[in-house]
Formats: sequence, structure tokens, C-alpha cells
Amino acid sequence: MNPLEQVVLAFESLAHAIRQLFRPSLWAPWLLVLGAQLVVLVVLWWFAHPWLSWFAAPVLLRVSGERALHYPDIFGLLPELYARADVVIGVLVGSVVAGASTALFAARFSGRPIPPSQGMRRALSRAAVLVLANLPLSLLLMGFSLGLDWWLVAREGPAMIARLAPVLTLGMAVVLQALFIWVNPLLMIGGRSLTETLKALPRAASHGGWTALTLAAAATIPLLPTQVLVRGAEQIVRFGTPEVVGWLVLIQALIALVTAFVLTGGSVIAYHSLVGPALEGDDL
Amino acid sequence: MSARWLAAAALAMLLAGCGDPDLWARYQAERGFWKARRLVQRIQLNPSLAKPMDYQEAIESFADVERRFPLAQWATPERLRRHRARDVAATSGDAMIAIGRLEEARERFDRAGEIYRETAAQLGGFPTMRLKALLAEAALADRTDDSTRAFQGYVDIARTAPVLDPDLGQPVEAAVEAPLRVARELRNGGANAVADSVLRAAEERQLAEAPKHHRTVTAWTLWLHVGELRAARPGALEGALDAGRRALAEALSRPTRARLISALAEFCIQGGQLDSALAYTAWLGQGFGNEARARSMMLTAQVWEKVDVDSAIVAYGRYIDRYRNSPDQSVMAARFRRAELLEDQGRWLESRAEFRGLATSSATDEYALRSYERIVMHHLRAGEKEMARIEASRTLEAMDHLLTTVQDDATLLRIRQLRAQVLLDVGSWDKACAALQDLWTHYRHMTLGVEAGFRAAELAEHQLNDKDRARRLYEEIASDSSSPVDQAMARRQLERMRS
Repeated sequence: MNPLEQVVLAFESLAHAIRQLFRPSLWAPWLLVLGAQLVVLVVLWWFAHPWLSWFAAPVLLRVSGERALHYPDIFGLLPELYARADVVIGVLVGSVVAGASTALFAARFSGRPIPPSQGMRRALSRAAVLVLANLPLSLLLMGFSLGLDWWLVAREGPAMIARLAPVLTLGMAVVLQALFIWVNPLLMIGGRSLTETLKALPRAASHGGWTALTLAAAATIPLLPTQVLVRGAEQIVRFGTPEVVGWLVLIQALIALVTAFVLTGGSVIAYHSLVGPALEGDDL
Repeated sequence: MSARWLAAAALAMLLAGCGDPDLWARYQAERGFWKARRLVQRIQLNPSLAKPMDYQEAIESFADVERRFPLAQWATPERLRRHRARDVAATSGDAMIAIGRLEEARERFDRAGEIYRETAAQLGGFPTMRLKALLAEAALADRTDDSTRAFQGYVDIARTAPVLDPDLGQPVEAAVEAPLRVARELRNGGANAVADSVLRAAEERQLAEAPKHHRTVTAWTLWLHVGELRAARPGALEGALDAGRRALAEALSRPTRARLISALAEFCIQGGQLDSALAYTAWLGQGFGNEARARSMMLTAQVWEKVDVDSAIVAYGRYIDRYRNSPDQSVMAARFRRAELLEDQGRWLESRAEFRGLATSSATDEYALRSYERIVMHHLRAGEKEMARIEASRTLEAMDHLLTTVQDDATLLRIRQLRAQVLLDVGSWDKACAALQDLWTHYRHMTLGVEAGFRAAELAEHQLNDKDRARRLYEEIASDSSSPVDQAMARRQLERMRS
């Protein structure tokens, strides 16, 4: 399939996935991620309450120092603290949930829908593999972001690169997301093992690279406005209402969840239409 | 199932008690304080647009913090030992002080003073916060020209201010500034022995801490404080220089060393050792950067003032030539001082040119306003009444123009004061009375306003023979002045006029 056809396929897949947004049964696994994210946000927001402070305060003290235990400083630090926690949620809960969601989407698109509990059971039976297969994406993203920061600060990298750092990080996130977008379909639909999946990724990228890039890029766009706002958290805290940062983080989390839902659905359709058959052809 | 729920509920209850209640209290206090401060910031954006309701709302918000975390409960010795509870007391204390400042802003000075006193009394066990309240009270007394209360406040601060902030471990400036000010005022009143004992007591407290610190900011600051306290005592110059050298030995950075060398030069000027002062200013002028060089040139000029005024004039001239385009206020100070020295030397034409240049270079600057007055005063002292009148009318014209263009309250006060003074100087009684009445109308809460009111009444009664006007003024002072002493004095004047 030529690049243009692949891009068109990506948009069709996304459109089809968006039409599934109002099916509650497909949302069931994602509620676990939402629950975990809400718990983290509530803990960070209300860390000082005696119900939470016995464990939240020592953790915050260790991670961000005494400043994090003061109002309104906690809200200035909230986006960064939440982002760190979200990486853990994404790896441990998100991977399994995305696996379950992949199974549910695949069943739905093949005309034989299964109940959410069955999708979750299937994902849980492969939980370790799902976590390990999705782990490199998070590690590579974190590694690139931290490495770039270190290079710019410790090695005093060029000012132009420093100005472009957010765009570079975003670009790398899109590329890595595109590379790993086929992990869950390969595991849950293709039924491959961990090593087979990781080995198949370059071939999948060569067959559906443009589709993957389009899906990943399209999934990033809705997150941009809130990301920009959240980056100005210190200013919002200093000149506005600190709690607004909390609400912005919540909105960002909700948008990220919807995006992940649509991206999973879109990747399943694209896998069925393009990557799956191409890989099967290669295997033969 | 119900057993499981019961266990979960019991666990939740258990965990609820595990958290730190002080942390929660601190969080709530800080949140309350933050929200109240936002209301103040809104007022500060444009105070002239703020309504009484805005002040009331901000005061209520701060009062709410204190109501929820009363100092009586949070500033107890037992709670002050726990650092988070201590923070709650600090926030609550800050809220009280903020209420005082808001009361000051709406010119309720008695209420503000009461709040500061009450706060200081409740923070007896928390020296740094008590100091904050005492400093606010003393600053209020300064603002309202209540010298007796200000003196008492600084005496209290000198006696009780901690040498080091127990939370930050840094030297407390008030622990040296307050004794210096108290000693200065005592000396002005002729109580030299008491002044020396105040300085010695403060020095001993600094000396108890200074040797415990090495190679830190705290170390050199404490030794500098010792030096400043000794330098203020006659005959203790050697001790002051010794402390200054010790401070120098503890200084780590070049700007700090420059600051300390400057202090050593000042000690020498204060103690009359002018050769040593010149040696220190020469040291300061070499290798410590432009700022230190400027300071060195000013100090050199000050030294020459005591030895040879012509050399001092030349020294100020060098400074002015070098830093003419600097935005620094010190250039204006140097120009004014040179003009004064020229006048003292009888070189009036050069002096007048400098005063006039100052007056026109930055019309609202304090030195510019003082220059206007100096020119008029010179002619009056020299008996040149017509010249004085011409200069006075030129000054009044400039002041009237400034009154319509200047927005800053402090400058407006200074302009009104100068206007009244010039009119008094040239004996223009009717206009002087109106100018003094204007001062009384605008600044009736300040001692200078009340004094202007009394002076206006005197002029009305004796120079203008307008007894009704004088009576009206005394009646206004008797009812509107914030000081009971001034009210009583105005009532006595009214009784005298009736009899």
C-alpha cells in the first residue's frame, strides 16, 4: 500500500474507532486506568489530609522535597508529579488494559463481540507479556526526554535545540508511538509471543509505517492544548488559582484516555486491514 | 461479606488517625492565607479604585485564618516545638499582621497598632514572628510620627530580637539596627551612658554567637554587626576595626570583601582616623569593580570634607564627572553635597548653578525639592528679600505645576510641605495659611498634618486676624486628630479664644 493509501486508511480507522466512543462495553477496561489516574490525582491534591498524609507526605517529601508539602507549591509541582505517576500507571495498568481493549475491539469488528470480563481475562492471562512488550516504549520516551534535558543543561547544548526541545520530544514520542503501535494487536490478535512480537515490529513498521505515524500523530494533537497550559503551571499558581492546575491535569488525563481508546481501536482496524495480512504473507 | 466491609471500615478509621494533623492544619492555614493575599493583590493593582468593601473582604479572609488557627492555641510552647505546628502559628501571625497592614492602608492607625501589639503579645514564645509584629508596630509609629511609641518599640526590639533566626540560621538585621537607632536617640537626648550600655548589651549578644560560625555568610555578618555596634560607641574604634578585620577573614566572595572594606572605611571616618580611612578607600577603589570604585570615591570625598573642603569639592566633582550618566541616586546626593560645600565656602554663583541644575534635572527628586528651598533660604539669610521673593515665586510656580502632574503620594506630600515652607519663609501669610490648611486637610492622621493645622490656626489668629478661621481649625483638630494629646491641646486653644 502506498503512503497516501496508508494515511487514508489511518483516518478511516480513526473515524471508525471514534464511532465506537459511545459503546460502554468497550470502555469497561479503560475505567481501571481512569480509576488509577483519579486515585493518583486525589492523593496529590489532598496529600495533606490525615486520611492520606500518612503515606502521601513521606513519598512527596522524598520525590520533591519539603516544598511539595506546602500550599500552593504542590500545584506548581502537580503536572510533573502526576506525569511520573502516570508512567507507572501506563506500564502496569495501561498495558494490560490496552491489551483487553484490543481484544474487545477485535471481537467487535469481527462481528462476534465478547463481554468486557472475557476481554480482561484474556489480557490478564498475558499480563506479564503485555507489560514487558509495552515497557520499552515508556523507557525509550523517558530516556530520550531525560537525555535531552541532561545534554542541554549539563553539556550546555545549543540554544536553538533548547528552544526546540518540546517539539523534538513530541516528534520522538510520535515516532516511538508509531513503532510500538502494533505491539498489542500482534500479542492479542496475532497471538504471538513476546520475542516474536518484538522481532515483528520492524516488519510491521515497514508495511504500515505511514498508517502508524498518522495514527500516532493524530492521537497527539488533542493533547497539545492542555499540555501547553499545564507547562505554565508555575505561572497559573503564581498569578491565578492554584487549583486550576489540578483541573487542567484532570482534563489532560481524560483527553489522554479518550485518545488511547481511539488509538487502540484505530490500530486494531489498521492491523486487520493492512499489517496483519502483510505479516501473515511474510510468514508464509 | 459484612465482616469484610467492617474490617475495611475499621482499617479506614485506623488510617485516618495515622496522618499528621499538623500537616493538614498547615495546608489549610496556607490555603486560607493565599486566598486572602490574592484579595490584597487585587487591591494593590490600583488602590485608588479599591472600595471599602474590598478591604473589608480581605480583612475578613485573614481574620478567618486566625479564627480557625488561633494564636492562643497554636503559639503554645508545646506546639511551637513541632515544626509544622510552628508553621501554622507563623501563618496565623502573618495573617494578623496583614490585617494590621490593611487597617494602616485605610488609615485606621489606632486599630492597626492594637492588632500589632496584640499579635506580638500572643507570639511571646516565637521570637522571629514576635519581631515581625514589633517591627510593623514601630514602622507604624514612624509613619504617624509618634516618636515616643517608635522609640519604645525599638527599645523592645533591641532587647528581645534574636541574634539568629532559629528557623533559617541567618543573622537578624533588626538585632543590630534597633540598638543602633535606640542609642542614637538616647545620645541625642544626652543619655550617653545609657546609649553605651544599650550598645554593649547588643554587642555581647552578637559576640556570644559570632565565634561559633566560620567561613559562612552568618560568620562575617555577625562580626560586621559587632563592628557596627562598637563603631557607634565613642572610643571603641579599635574594637570596631578588629571586628571588621575578623569579618574580612570570614568573607568568601569579592563583593563581600568590598562591602566589608567599605564598612572599615566608614568606621574610621566615624572614629576620626582619617588616614586609615583614606587607606581603606584606596584599597576599595582597586580591583573590586565599578560599584566598589564609586563607593570608594564617595567615601574619599567624605574624608576630605573633614580635612580640606576644597579637596572635598574636587573629590565630589570627580565622582560626578565619572558617574554623571549613572541612574544611581548617589550622583544627585553628591551634586547636592558639592553645592552645599560651595555655598559654605562663599562660592554662591557656582553653588546656585548646581542647585538650579539639580532642581531642573529631576523635578520630583528629593534633592531637587531641597534645592529649590536652599536657593530661597540663601537669599533670605543674605537679606536679599526681593531676590528671595522672585526665587520663591519661581519655586511656587514649579510646585503648582507638579501638584497637577505628580501621582505619587509621598512626593505630593513633600511638594505640599515645600510649598507651605517657602510661603512661610517669604512671609506670604495668607497663602501660607492656605497651604498649611491644605496640609492639615490631606494629612490629618500624621503629626506633620496636625502641626500644619496648628500653625495655620496660629497664622489665621495672629497674622491674618481671622479668628473664625482659627476657631474652625482648632475645632477640626479637636474632633479629627488621631492623638488625644493634640485634641486636648486644640480644646485648650478653643477655651482660650472663648475667654
